[in-house]
Amino acid sequence: MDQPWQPQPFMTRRVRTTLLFVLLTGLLLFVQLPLVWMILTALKVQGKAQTLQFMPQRSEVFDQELVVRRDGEGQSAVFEYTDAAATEVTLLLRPGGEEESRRVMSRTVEGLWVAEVEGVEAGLLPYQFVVNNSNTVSDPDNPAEDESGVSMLRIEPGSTLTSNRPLFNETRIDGETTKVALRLPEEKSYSVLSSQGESVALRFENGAHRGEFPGAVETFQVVREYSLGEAIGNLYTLENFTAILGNKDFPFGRYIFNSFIVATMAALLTVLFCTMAGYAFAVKQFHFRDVLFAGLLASMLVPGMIYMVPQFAITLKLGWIDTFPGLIVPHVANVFGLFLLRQYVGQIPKDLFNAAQIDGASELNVFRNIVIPLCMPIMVTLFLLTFVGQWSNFLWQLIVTQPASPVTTLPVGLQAFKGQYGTDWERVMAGACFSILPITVLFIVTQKYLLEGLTAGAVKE
Amino acid sequence: MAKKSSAGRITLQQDLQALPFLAPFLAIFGVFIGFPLVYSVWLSMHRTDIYSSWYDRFGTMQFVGLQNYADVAASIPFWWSIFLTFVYATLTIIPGMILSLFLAITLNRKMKGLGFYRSGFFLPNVFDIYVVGVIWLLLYNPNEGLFLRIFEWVGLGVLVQDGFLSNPYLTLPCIALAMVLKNAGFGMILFLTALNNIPTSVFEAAEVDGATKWQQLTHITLPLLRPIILFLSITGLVATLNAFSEIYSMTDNTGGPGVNVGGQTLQAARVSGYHLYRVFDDSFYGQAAAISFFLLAIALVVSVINFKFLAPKD
Repeated sequence: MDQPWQPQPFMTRRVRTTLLFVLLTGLLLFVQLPLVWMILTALKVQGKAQTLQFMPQRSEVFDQELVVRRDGEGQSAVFEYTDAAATEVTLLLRPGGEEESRRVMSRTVEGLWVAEVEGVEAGLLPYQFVVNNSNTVSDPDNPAEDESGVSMLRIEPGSTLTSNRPLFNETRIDGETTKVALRLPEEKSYSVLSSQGESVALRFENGAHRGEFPGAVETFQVVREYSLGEAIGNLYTLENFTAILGNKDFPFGRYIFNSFIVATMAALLTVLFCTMAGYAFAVKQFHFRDVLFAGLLASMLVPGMIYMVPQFAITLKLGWIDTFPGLIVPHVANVFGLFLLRQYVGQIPKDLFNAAQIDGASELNVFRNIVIPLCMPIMVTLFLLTFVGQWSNFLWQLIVTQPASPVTTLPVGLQAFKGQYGTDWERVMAGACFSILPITVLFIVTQKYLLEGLTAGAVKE
Repeated sequence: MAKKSSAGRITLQQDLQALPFLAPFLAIFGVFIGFPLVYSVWLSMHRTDIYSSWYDRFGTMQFVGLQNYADVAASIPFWWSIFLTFVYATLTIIPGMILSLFLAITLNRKMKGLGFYRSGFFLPNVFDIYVVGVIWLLLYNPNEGLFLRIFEWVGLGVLVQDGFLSNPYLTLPCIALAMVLKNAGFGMILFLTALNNIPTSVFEAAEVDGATKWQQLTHITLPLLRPIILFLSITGLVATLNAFSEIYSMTDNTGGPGVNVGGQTLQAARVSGYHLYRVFDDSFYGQAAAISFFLLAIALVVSVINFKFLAPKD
């Protein structure tokens, strides 16, 4: 039997599933963009937050072009000076003398400054370096000095090239090849890049990094090669976290501790009081019970902002500004939590309470041995909900703490920190990590309980 | 409600038995929620004495009758903030609902990694709004932020040359985008729960009758999700009346760039919750209380609509 002809589906099932995964993953990345961006920025080396560079760079080309020396006519002297932090270095020849003159030195690789003086005469040449136009220093690499501490370079008669220390760049053209020799720190590795784009790796041999270009090369650039570990270290660091934890003006360790205390205590008290009241509302008989419960529920409709001013006034009156009770207590009468617990206790079979009563169990024992063990799941849910809520209760914490208060919590501390170091994004994001990452871990571990509580209010008709 | 008292009249002894369990909750509720409601009324009829000491602000306030309410009703910044609140509500609720619904329908199937995606989309809900706002401030950075780079990269840099949050027309939409992405997972979970409750036989029957997927969505799924849609829009509207932290963090406590409204310079993101905070922060406690009653009135109107639509139809 022939299969009846069927139109080919527009997309096969497999293609559809793949597309679905791609779409969902893209969307998820977009939703999680703040989290990803926060972590990436917090791990970046200072100043690299906005560079949009994420892959560690294995090599770095120095801008300065080095010239291959050709033996010149007459005599010349080359001066070298190392200072990576300097922005400008000037060579001062014959300081204090009548023929005093200055040469601007050019910066080459690795903080090395070079100047070449042509047409020098045999004899002693006094010189000094002027760093950043302010500091005059003698040559640290040349012990020869006159009585006033000015460095002296001895130029022998008949020599073509004299230098204050072994020449950094001894590259020369030798027949058909260009022999590169660079006196650079031994522990680092380099390659060189000719102006024609040829690249040659250098090996450290005999006091210099050496290599060979096959043809005659006039200028070339030096490329610093990083090992993987070095390359990662150039872009990423944990230093932002340690710097923040060690900051004297903004004690983040303290902020984290305070936030933890506030969230934990508020959650514990909320769970305890809601369970007690929930038990009473679900099981016990008392006057105005249903009216009272309806009244409590109605208060949930009032926008929270209405409580802000009076709660602040009461907290002020109680002398609770800048104290833990001021941060914690106003929020522990959680009507939503009471509602959750009352529903849950209501599901416990009444016979259990009756049997306990017949056995003569005390009220406290009933609560401890029946209510608490059976309500544990919903109590955990409420604990987590409150913890998450109070960990992030920025507005209230901002209102009841004054600047530099000893009970400053994490969001408020971060706000103050951002006020001072607003553009120091690597540090600000490291601070943000302290707020976001613990909650992320908490959510991943306990999401089943958390989701149950968050949706309970809406799903129960 | 709970079961009727079948044991006859309630005795004082029963009251006394319940009291120890109720006392802690009711005491704190009374002091920090019940009393504040009453106290707010008192506050809204008083005005701060500017010469009072910081610690006795509330002890030296002067009675001004309904003057605060009249001031608020005549205040352009207040009505501007209400207007912005409704703009902000529209910008957050509608796109948020569409994204939540899309996620719920997409994730309502058997597939690999289902739990991972659901948790992943929900996770931002538990983050601190203030901190998330600060991260978005970095993403929206007007000089070298990621979003600017993306716009420049696709050749649309000219569109955002005034920045994102510093452009009055973009401030609220940009804040709304951040909040929609943060909150979409919550709506998703609600929709998923509701979708689970629709019997699959309904869809099978529709398929037998030749209904396309799109017809199934518009004729079966959406009508059955109506309660959740209404719940999310109403709670969303009440929540935007309270919106504060995201505005505070993403505008660096400025309320956004200035715009000219009826001759006054007002901020482009000064929604009601943030406006209330600023009035409070300037120590106009009486006026702040009066504003909160205006907000309560709006919330009540919204809640009445809420009950009207959500009341069981049977």
